[in-house]
Amino acid sequence: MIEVSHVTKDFARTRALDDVSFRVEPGEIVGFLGPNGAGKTTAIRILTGFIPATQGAAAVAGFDVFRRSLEVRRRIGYLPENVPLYEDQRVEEYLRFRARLKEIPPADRKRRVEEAMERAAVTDVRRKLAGALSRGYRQRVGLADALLADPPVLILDEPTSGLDPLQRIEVKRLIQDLRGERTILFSSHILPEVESVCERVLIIHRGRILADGTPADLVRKLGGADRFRVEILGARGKEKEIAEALRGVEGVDGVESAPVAGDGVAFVLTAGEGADPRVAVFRLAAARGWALRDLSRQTSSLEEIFARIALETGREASAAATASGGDA
Amino acid sequence: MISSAITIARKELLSLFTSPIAYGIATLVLAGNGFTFYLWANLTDGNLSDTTSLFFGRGLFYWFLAPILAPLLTMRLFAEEKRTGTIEMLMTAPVTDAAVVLGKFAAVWAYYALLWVPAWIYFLGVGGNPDLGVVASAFLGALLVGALFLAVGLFASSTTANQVLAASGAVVGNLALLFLPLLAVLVMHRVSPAWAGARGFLERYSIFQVGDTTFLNGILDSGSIVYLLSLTGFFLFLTVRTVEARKWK
Repeated sequence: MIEVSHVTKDFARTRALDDVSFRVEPGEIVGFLGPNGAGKTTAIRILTGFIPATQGAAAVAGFDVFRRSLEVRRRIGYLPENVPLYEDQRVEEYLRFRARLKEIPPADRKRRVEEAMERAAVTDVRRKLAGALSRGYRQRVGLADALLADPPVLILDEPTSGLDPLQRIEVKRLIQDLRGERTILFSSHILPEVESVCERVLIIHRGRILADGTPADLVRKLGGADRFRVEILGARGKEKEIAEALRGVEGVDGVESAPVAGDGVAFVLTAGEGADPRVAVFRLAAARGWALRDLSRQTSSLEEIFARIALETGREASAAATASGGDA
Repeated sequence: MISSAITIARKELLSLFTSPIAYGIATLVLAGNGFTFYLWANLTDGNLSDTTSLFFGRGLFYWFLAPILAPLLTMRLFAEEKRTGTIEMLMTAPVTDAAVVLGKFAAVWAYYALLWVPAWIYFLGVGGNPDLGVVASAFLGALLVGALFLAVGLFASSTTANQVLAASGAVVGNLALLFLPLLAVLVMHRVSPAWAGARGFLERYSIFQVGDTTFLNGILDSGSIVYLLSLTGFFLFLTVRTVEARKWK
């Protein structure tokens, strides 16, 4: 449904996108993830035909976004990042204007506007001026606009930014409701959100796609070294000695400690590839008489993976060769 | 293309009427026209038969006001969309750049035409015996000159996100269009008789002259009409190109 191949975008001084390629299949919900300034909005603007790519090609529903821009625009519901609205228009008036622009036949306009308002839950502010809307309502008016023409493709740029937690849940629910009906590409810099809604995640950083896969896949592939948490009560003051003993366990590469509530200390062990030192740690604790309160494997969250990837590409400039292999 | 241009024109007209600036401008025009009429009535001791085209180009008031009014109407059109980012919503809807430019232009031109309609009251209602044909022709001239000023304003607005800059740029542009040819004629007059040909051309095509020799005398000269329309078209074309230019950055 969406096909991007080798797209590069140069602005005056910077390269915003560097040889970006990805596909989104019909009916898929794909999260577009990256820190601010990674190139998400640029990629989205190219897809919606607002700006052209410097190099490469992109197509939506089989139409080239540059050559057949109008065809593409007819098939996309787009929510831009800051939801620009005409401040002097009322919500309903704005949506009716958009319905006309989007070539919805006159007979259907009224119904479609009603439906979109209902779906985005903005019916109660229909008579309000757009300039007087709260951030959350603006966002939802933008969503209503994106849904208006019932497009097969939805492209949402940071649909939850600036929303309070409750509104976020509502927006997520809305996106989940649309599952299956539509192809959805939405960008975010907040991971749990993407994790909970998307079937597939694209991680973009400094204009390049760094990873592409399901959230679980990414965690498995990019999770890097396993970590284990060992909490021992009454260890305060003896951290050094215990850490030394833990370091001696087979498979343990590193130990870090941090005090926890009471007089306990939490040790985080980094283990080598495939190693599981938990049983050995238990035996050690039993032998030394440590009060073991927690012994568990910690899975890396997407967040950590993300941070790691971002950091690594930062160093990439100096050590391009090592960063691409190894644990990245 | 036409239907989306109409949609945009409709929206722009509505938002003109919900903004104070439209009413401010209307007040200015009505007051100015009233005052001009009062002066004229005093000057002619109430002999109003020759009032014909006073408001549409023969009076200084029109030439003073039109180049400044037009930019006030157009300054918002693109500059505001760029400043608030709504241009992104507009240009990602299925509309062509040309339809957007045409729609916006049609809206301000319609409003501009509306501004000068009340002046007809002076001809129709106050007695005297004006030649309505001449009045109509002068009115058409005023609209065509207005279209040119508006097109210049629209172009200026498309080049910036700053309304004040858009308005002042357009005023300068309009005044340059009006006065540079006159200035050139004056200079050439002094320099050498050899330039008589060029001088004749400039005189013929200065916008004042175009109005004075044709529309204000009730002559619908196709040359003048085409001349004004093509200048207007040229600036609209430049506007479309400027709007498109985002695609080439």
